[in-house]
Amino acid sequence: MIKLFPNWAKLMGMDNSIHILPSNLFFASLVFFIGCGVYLYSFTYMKSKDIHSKWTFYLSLSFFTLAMLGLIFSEHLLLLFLFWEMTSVCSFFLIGLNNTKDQVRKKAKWALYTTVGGGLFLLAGVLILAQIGIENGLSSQLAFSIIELGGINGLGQHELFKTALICILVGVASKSALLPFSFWLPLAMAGPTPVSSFLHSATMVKAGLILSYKLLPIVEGQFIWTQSLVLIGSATALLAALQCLCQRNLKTMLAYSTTCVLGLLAVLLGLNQLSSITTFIVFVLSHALYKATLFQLVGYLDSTYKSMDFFELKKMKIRDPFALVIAMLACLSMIGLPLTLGFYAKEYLYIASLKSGYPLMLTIVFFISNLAMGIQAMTFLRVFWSEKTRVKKIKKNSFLLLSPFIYSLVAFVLACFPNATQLNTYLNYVLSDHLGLSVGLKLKLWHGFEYPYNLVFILSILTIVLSIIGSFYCSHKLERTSKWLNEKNDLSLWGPCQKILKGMLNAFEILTNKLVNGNLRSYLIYTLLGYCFLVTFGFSGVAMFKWPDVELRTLELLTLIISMTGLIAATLTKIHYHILINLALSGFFLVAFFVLHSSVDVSMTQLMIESLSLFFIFFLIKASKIKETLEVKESGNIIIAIFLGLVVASFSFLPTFPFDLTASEFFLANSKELAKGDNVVNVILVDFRALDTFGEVIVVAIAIIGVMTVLTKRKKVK
Amino acid sequence: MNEILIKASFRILGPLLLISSVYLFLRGHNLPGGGFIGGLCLSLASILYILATKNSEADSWLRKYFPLIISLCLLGLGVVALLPIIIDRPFLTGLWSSFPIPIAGKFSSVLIFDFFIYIIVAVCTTRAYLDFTDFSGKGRFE
Repeated sequence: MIKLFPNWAKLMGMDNSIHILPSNLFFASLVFFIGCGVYLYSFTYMKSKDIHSKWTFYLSLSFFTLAMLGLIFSEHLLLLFLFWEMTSVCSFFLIGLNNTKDQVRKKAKWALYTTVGGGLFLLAGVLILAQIGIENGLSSQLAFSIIELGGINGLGQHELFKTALICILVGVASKSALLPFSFWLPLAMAGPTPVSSFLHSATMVKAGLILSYKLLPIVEGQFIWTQSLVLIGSATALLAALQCLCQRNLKTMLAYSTTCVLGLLAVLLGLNQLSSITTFIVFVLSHALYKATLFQLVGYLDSTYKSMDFFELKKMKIRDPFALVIAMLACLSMIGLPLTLGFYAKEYLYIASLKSGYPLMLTIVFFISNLAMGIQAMTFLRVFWSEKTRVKKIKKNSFLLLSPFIYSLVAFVLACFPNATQLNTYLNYVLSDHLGLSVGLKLKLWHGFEYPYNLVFILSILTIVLSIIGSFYCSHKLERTSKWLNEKNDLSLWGPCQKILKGMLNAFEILTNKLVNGNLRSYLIYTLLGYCFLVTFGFSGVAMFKWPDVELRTLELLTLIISMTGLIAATLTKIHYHILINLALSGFFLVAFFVLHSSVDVSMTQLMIESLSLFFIFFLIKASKIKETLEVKESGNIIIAIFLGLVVASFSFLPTFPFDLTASEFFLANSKELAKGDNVVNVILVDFRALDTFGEVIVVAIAIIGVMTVLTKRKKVK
Repeated sequence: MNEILIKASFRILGPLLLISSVYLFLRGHNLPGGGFIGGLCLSLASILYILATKNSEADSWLRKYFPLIISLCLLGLGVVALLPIIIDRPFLTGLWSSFPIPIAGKFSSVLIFDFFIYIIVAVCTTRAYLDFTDFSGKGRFE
């Protein structure tokens, strides 16, 4: 029976690894919805770009969407890692789309280093987790499944569990731009705007948090995980809140506020309570919708008014009613006015903080972050808010406003009618996979007057009022502070990271210059001596040497003696051709020795190789036109040669070398039956070990390409 | 260099090497021989040919088509290796025809696999030789 698609997933132990859980569906629907808008937006945005960058853009974007969906749905840790790194690589291509600019390339590279490097930590953590799973009785296939791991009771007691969590935490922090890796997100703003709105606000940066969300049942009650997420998250949020106030570039400003939100989300996941998880879902939904809108609005401003700078845009006195409406919807959601999704998110945020273990600290953190975001939203709105009408007509690209409009409209409708649009039912369904079926989440404007809610109400009002007042104050001071902060912008690990990388590059350059000095002889010496030392080191435990009990017949002895004579003669002669002839003599008599030992295959191959190398070296000497006689000044050669000879010869004197004959016996026994060949050597080459041969042949081809690049005659350049 | 020697030896050795290379390759499955040895033998024959006749056309032909030949052979290797996947057998399983063909014996995917190895080894060795020494005129190492 012919089956075209055999079960490869089963072969690799990856079957049963894609799960459609309610929360997965939620994240996927966000990716799908934001993604559709981004494609719609890109058709207009990328219209004027050249065909090459269009191809790169759409291919990378589609691959990214695939990888992101894969990441969301996979409950298999290895598969998740695969998609994780895939999103990083796609993000690299998308950030560096404008690859003619040196700065852009540099920034894209930094984003790649950070996210992929963090991914390696994740891999380490995943492997340790799987090891723990195997030790707890899971099969190696199930050990990678998050769901199976969550079911193990004694998982937290394992000594390596904390190490695994720390490794995974580093991965999460690097991907979701938490401290100390928060520097890459503002750098990633070098990419085109649709990319920023899709990857760097709504989806990819949430990957780390999605992973933490998946891991919630595993990390239950692990202090090291929850505490560090809370701490790191708060620190990130506070730092980003300060930084986002001092930016004049609107896009960078949005990037910092995204970092701030990511920090808050990490705190919520770290708290790991009913209220905080609920808040997490609501916050993710509201943030994705308003942030994608704002990013695309910035892209619209950039393409219409050719600027992303707050002050320049302010001077233009923009009058753009349609854009204003959209900006209003998004910004009011960001401030958290009633009848927006942001309002619910903010309310729930305060409720979560008050119900958590450290209400005072978290409330302050949340308050400051919300305030900063509110001020920022007001600042953003002021770009569109001008007193006088500008007369000059500007060609507008109104199609760019289509998808932000859809986002903000959907967000508005969802916020106004949470019951009619089934949003409440849906969110309860989403929360059901971790928290059980009856969460009883109900988005509503008014909660009542009892304890946490009255405080929440006051805080909420305070945030809105203070951010409106603050925005007036801030925009006066903005110019001065932004100059100061632009100089001190590397509050995170950005500066040290750069220094470390530069130092590493310098060190490697010095090392390379020392090792690769262009002298072929020294390369040979490094290789041979390295080999000798490694072998000596490896066999240093095996001290017993024994004379091999081989009886040599007269004929064999004779061939060996002639072969040796050739070698000795080769070392004594000074003329190149003579050395070559002597070596060939030695080689051919070695072939004769093999024949006498009735190993025909080896001798035949050896014969071919001897004659070919004779040809090769002969014509090499002829073509290279070097002097006829050899001039060797270095006497160190003898020592190296003797050392190498001793090491190789000592192989034959190792009596207790554990040689496993199972494989050989299997080949001998099954050559005829399984592979239908009498010549065991060839059967091994093309059948039993055909994979090796496959690789070897590819190596041969690559080697020849190397030879070609070195030796092919180049055209003379004057 | 004494060219008469090479020319004379080519007249006898050339055909002999060619035939023995094909022979070595074909009987390799049951008797000493196989793709690697056959390929080396073939490359010896072709090197001797180029040396004896100083045929620069052969040289340039090989230079021109080398990438094509190599890539086709590697592709063929990959296809042969992937064939068993279609019928749900592990990668690189040998497939054998159920009935023997006269003279050649039973035909199999292993033979095709070996054939590509034969070609790659022969072509690569010859090409390396041509690269090391230049027959179109001047030496390379001036």
